[in-house]
Amino acid sequence: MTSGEFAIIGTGEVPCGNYPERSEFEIAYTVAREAIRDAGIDVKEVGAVLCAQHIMSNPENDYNTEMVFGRLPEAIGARGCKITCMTSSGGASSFSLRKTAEGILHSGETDTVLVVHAQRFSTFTPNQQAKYFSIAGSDVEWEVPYGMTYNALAAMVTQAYMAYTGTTIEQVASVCVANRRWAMLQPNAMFNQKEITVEKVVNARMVSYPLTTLMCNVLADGGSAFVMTTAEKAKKVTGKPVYILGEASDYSHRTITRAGMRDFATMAEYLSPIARLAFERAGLGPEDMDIYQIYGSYPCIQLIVMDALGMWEPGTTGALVESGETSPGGKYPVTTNGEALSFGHTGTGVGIALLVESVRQLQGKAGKAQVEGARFLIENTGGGAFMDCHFTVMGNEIPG
Amino acid sequence: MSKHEPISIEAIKAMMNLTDEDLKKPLPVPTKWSRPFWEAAKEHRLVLRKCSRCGNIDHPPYLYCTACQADEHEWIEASGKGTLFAYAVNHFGVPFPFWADLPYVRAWSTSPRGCA
Repeated sequence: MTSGEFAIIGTGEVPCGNYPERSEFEIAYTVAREAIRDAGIDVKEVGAVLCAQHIMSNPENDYNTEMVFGRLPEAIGARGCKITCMTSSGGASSFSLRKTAEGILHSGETDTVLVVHAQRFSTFTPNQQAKYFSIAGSDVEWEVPYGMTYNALAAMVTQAYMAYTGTTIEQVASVCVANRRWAMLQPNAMFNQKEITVEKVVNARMVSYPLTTLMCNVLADGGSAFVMTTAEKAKKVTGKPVYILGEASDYSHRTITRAGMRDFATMAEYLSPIARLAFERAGLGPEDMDIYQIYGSYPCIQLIVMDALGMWEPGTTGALVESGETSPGGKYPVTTNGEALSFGHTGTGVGIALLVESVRQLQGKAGKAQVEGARFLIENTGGGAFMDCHFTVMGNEIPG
Repeated sequence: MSKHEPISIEAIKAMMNLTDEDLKKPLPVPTKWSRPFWEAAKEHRLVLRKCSRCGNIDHPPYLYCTACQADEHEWIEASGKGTLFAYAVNHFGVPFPFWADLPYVRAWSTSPRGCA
């Protein structure tokens, strides 16, 4: 990819939370229309429609099956559609979908791709959800039979990180507080009504020591969409294109014991070359960023990824977040939609929601959460049991 | 540590309408290539798959060596010793079959063989 070859020109999103009456089909059709309208194009210009795989199927009317077999272009009236497919890499789906979109645009078959995500968890029983998420994050043969959980894995990473860096549990909790403050400014966030304090986070019910309920993400129904095009077309149809300036990826493992980073206490050292490469490809540095959109299924992960950016001394980001500098009004806005912890965990859509928020910020459409004059940002995502990591530098201009 | 009372297995069963089936613990389903591990485990031996060509140890094991893709391998006995580098204590929010075991520890150690 050449820097600034592709651009995102419009987004759509529905409120995130408990909406058992709202089917995934309804979400998908709603966000698709909204993204196309927001982009200022006609639906007939859409030449490819990509769906994120949803997780936990309803056998009565399976969303994945319907989307794989072409329901979406028909339902939204995308009569110029030539290509449709489904892509997923768990929490990293925003990246794999976008890369697929870039490949399609690069092929020249079409110059307009629509990407859609929809998820409904609330119609499944807590037992079904608990079962699914034990399998998603842990190995079904080697870990699940021993009661391993996603939360326990994150708890281990948190313990190792705290021991290695001297970060306190209060500093870890302050990530949840900062995320909540951003979510309070987001009309579609699941938790946007009540502020939380470090004290409240630390004293909430213990889930997996040292993580409390407020340090663990909550599954939610939601969905979002975006329209991607070539930079050439973007300039013609909108005054507000958001360019993909540089990106980089790495894959580590499926089974946590096979992690490429070997030692989770030093995870940031494994991640930092990926961030560096993304910055290099964009021709920008971490200090040029106006916002840092860090994926964070758990608070500690946000700190580890922040450590990897080359912006702050590794191990000091807990204190930075605690100081309020990453919260609204702070010097370094981090994760402006509140992410999995406060916006809501929509399965494969967590990262897509953060990407959509990134676009809104750079288009000046982020409402109360708007970071004034934002020009460049770095966006991050990852999936599975920390199986991979992706960084993307985006901007509303192409640096000269 | 938070001051919340634990929720008993009886309470959670009633609250979530759980059946005995919901509380059945999941068992490992061995694959063709992992069966020797579980057979040894039945005899209380911890074994690891070692490649006969390049010496790489794979755990979990796969169909062939993940370092050199060779099939030939042997099963070696692990020392059973390890170095702990992280642990977690589950108190809440685990899959229901494990609820009665709360609180329980999950730990992560590295073996002298280089496997985690």
